[in-house]
Amino acid sequence: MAEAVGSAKSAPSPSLRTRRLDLSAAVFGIAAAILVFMVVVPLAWIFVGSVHSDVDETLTLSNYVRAFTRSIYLTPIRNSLVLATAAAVVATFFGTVLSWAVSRTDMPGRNAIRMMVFAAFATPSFLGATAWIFLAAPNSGWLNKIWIAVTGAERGPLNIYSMEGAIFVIALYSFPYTFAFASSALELIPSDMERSAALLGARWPRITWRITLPLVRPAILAGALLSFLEAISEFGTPAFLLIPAGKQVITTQLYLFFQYPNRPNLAAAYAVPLLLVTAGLFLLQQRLLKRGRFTSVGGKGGVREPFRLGGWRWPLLGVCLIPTLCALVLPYAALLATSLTRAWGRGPVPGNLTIDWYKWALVENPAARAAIGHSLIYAAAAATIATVIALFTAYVAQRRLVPGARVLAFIAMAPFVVPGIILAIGFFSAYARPPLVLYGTAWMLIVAFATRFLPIAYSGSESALRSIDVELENAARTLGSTTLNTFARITFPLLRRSVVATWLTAFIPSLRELSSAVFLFTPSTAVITNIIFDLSDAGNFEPVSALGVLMMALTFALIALAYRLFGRTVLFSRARG
Amino acid sequence: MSRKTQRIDRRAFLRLGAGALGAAALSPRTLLAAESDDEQKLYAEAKKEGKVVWWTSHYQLSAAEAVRDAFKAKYPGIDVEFIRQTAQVVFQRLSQNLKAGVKEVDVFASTDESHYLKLKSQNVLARYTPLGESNLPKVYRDVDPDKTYHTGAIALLIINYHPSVSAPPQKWTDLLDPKWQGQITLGHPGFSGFVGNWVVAMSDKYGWDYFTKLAKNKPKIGRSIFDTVTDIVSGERKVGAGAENASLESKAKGNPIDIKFPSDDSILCVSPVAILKDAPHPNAGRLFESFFYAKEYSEALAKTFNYPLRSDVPAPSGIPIEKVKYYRNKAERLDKGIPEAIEKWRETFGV
Amino acid sequence: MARIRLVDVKKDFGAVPALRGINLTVEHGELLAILGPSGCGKSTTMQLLAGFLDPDAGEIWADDRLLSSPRGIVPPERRRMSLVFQSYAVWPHMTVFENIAFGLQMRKLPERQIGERVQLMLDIVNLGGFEGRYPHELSGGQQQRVALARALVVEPDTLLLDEPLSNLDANLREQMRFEIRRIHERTKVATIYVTHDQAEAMVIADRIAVMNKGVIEQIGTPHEMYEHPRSRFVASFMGGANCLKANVLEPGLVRCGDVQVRAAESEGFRPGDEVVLCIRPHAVRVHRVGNGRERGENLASGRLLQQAYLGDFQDLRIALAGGTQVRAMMPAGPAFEGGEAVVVELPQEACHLLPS
Repeated sequence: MAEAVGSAKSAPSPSLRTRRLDLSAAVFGIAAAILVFMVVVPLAWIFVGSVHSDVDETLTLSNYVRAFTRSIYLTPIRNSLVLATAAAVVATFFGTVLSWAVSRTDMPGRNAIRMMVFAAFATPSFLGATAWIFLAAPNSGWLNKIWIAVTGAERGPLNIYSMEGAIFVIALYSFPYTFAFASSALELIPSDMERSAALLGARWPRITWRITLPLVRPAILAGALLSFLEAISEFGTPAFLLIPAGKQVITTQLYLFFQYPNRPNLAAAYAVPLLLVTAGLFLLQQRLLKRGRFTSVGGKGGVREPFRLGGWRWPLLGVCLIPTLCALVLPYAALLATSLTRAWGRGPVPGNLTIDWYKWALVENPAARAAIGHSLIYAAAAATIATVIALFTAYVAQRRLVPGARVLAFIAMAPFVVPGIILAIGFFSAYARPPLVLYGTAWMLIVAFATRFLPIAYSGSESALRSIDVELENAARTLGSTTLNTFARITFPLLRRSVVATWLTAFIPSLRELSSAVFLFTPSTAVITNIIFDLSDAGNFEPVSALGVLMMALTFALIALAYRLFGRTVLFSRARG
Repeated sequence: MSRKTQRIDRRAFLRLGAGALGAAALSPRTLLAAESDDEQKLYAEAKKEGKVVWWTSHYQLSAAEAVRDAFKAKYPGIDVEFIRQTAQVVFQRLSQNLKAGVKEVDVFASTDESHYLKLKSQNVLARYTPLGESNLPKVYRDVDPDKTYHTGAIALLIINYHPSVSAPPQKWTDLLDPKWQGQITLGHPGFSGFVGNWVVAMSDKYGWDYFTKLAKNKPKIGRSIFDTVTDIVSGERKVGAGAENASLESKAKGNPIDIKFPSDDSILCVSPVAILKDAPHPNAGRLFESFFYAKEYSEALAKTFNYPLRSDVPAPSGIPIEKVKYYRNKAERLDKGIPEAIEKWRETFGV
Repeated sequence: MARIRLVDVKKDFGAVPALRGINLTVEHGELLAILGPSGCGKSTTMQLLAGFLDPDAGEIWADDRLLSSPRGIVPPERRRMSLVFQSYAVWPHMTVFENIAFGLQMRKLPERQIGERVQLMLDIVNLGGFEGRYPHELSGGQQQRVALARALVVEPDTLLLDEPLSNLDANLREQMRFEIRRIHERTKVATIYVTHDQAEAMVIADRIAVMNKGVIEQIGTPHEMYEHPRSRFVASFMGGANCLKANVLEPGLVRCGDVQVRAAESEGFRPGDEVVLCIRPHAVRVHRVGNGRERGENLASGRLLQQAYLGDFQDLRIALAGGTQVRAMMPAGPAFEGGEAVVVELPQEACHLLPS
């Protein structure tokens, strides 16, 4: 065989295979090394840490015993489950109704609703929680005060410092997940399916209930699971709303383990079951999505005609406005108003108005100013790293360029099931100690953000790649173009828009990331969310609001720019889990 | 490392020299001149380092900003980077840094005195006698005979309340009255050093029973002791176990809040300050710590409604600290007491 | 120019064998069609030929150059093969010119030469003047020709065409068959053409290899394949022959239902063997009852089940007395009536016996 090849006169090189193998090995090696560094090592540290004592680092199972026998640690688990389940149910209800209204009916203002859902998606829930404190704190909340003023009642009806309050706020900012899943599925159902039912004599409520919704049920369930995942991983909102209510959830309990006395290994043990639950749910969600594929089978080229709702259009719009009003209009008004007051408790009244907090954030307070800069730089760096690695991994995996590429894909998706706070614990355990001390440097946050949002970037890249027929690449290969050159000349130019969209979907959450940042920053690497969180603990809500408004202004400016440049596809391009 | 030792040696040598020259006839004036000389040298060294990094939980953000501004006014060319966080949070971050070998902070200022006992036992604090410590009232000098930490701030924990309350609580035990149900705001000992101090003091005075009863009144638990001010000012809650400084500052801004020195003792917190052995800017750290005993520091504190350290600066409340009936926890008691308090707090209040 | 040889090539996908041992030679300048139903392995063969897949066993050679073996493959870009895809795979972000020039740029030809060769190629595929257009401004047939031009302009040793016409409408498809044949005559590049369309293969190919279930059933010229299929599968796939169960009575004579049929040849069968009697629908003749030829060898009575009028022909389905069905294509003439009793004649020279 070797002789045969060697003796071939026309063979350009006798060692083709070896070279190709070497390149594959190198490619695989680099990708694997980066992913191991970003994902495997930090996660492995959680498991390693969980079986080591916090006191003397000896091997032990006592952390698990301690974490899961004491009632003060068990109650938060129950609270988390209640919180996440209820939030997922509420979010799923609104997400489904809105997606149906927007994609299947002639309800007025559909595009505006769609935009508002996206804006809710871009808003971090801890900011919403802060705003809802202004609105619905039991005694001082503006809505309660208005209620008291109008009705003369002793107390207002709302108490945001409660489990119900936290459920409400989290649902407000996670319903876009169900919305995105359900609406992308709904948009694939050709009207023919519904028309067939209509021809058989059904009216729209029955058609919706019997035909439309069952068709998108897997997508709705997938979105619901994602909402659950988000809710159970949420840190900021419970910290702001549930600690005052005397309730811990898993994430705030994890945070406490990191307070003095610091017990990172106990925290790791406490985190492991949560990790298993989220991983299990994710697998379930993936199976649902796979089984739900039939929704798209008949979806090619079908005409989609919205239901004519007649007089029901306006009540439906009313229902759709509830979540958008609660997630956007009220909170942003509250944040803006607070950021412009000297003391928020006195409300936005003359004499209490000032723009000092903006001056403070942008000029006077170097820490806040530095944090804004850090946020932008770190988020940009993280988004770039995540996009490059995701694109690369997705390419290698999807085109099966190297054996074991699917393992890479799996690793790239793995952080999806890791709540930010747990990822941070892993990062801290892995990279706050020799040989590689990233803690204290910008890289700690950048790499953590990149890892955290790698799955988003990955699924974006993957679906973008899937839209490119592999034959376009193979055509170039047969014409003498190497894999690398093909990627540069064919694949990448075709992907450019998707790459920008992917970058943005990693950038936006990085910009507003709190749960991993609270563990990983040091004051010299603080980002906006760190400052917001730190300020909020002493009730400095006015500068918190000013910073929040600035952060969201930056976010929305970027989204607007992207929208202008790339159109609607940029928004919701992460509709796939 | 060697440079640092050298400098310390030189200063020691200077002191020795001064002593030898006229130990008997050492007038305050020459001492002052010598100190000012030291100060100028230190300033020059510190200026080369360019900045000082300071982590504090001592007082409100505004006070820390005032201190920073006063320092920068006195010593142009040296920047002050600071963070203000609750005591347990800054301590936790410092512990993480130490464990990871990250050298970031020069001057560490916590409200939990026990933190310094731990840090000292870990041998991570620099031994240093700040210039001008002699300006302090005697009770605050030499909190550590080994000179690894020094008094950095004093604060009083008091009852704060909304002026709409006609009969504010007079003493801590009044908070147990069921009429305050749903009206009380507290910080969290797991975050705030002040609150930890208060919890230890209360449980030493009245036993843990005090908190079991207090829990029945369903207090709102924030994180920082300063959360109580926000809650009262906004009308969210009526009374709190708060700090005098932030309450008075807020009152001065025209917010609806007032304070009451409880008849069963205000709690005095003496909050230390220390320089880290591995400080990245050791000289700036020393200059900054010495600044704590300069008049400008006390003035900055008084301006932001904190008790000044120096007796030549009047107290913002008008009541000098000596006149206040206070209770003070011993550092050794806090060392065990605060972690215990946090655990028990969890069981009693659920968070 | 190269002579392509596949030697016992095997490929599995997981537990599913896709190719069970393919042996095939494509001579210099030859156009060989691989014909088969979907799932027969013809696309896998193409992927292996192009170097996108590694064989599990066997070898692929271009002259004396080993291209693929389980131990390694020459990557697609160095096999000097061009591939035209079913989807055309014309790059949407490049103009016609850029598409065609791409392969020449990969070969680092001077720009002027690239320009000349692209122009020449555009003329060959009748796309002169279209060089500045983007693919979305072209019709399907034009895109197809761009793909062809792009594949040919690099003067590959071998040209692979993977169902290149399946996305075109019927008229255009027919036109492009001749077009491809014409271009092949002109370039004489060894070409392998994958298709599931028997007519297409017959028009275009010098030789046809019929594949089924991962093996090549038969290779031969279109004429051989049509006239002398060696298996039932080939017979039915090439022109949809009637395949009737029969038993050999004596050399050359079989019993099919209750009719005795004399076949064109009978080598290799012994009396008693079960065989398949194949006859093309075009060769079957149908007579009305009553013209005298109703009994005898190669004559069977039956009843007309269905008839369709196809213009020049009528397509008839007849149930024979034994229950088997026969399809006949008769020149359009006097119309039969549905249900009418008929006599079916199976001319001896058109009756071929195949192993069952």
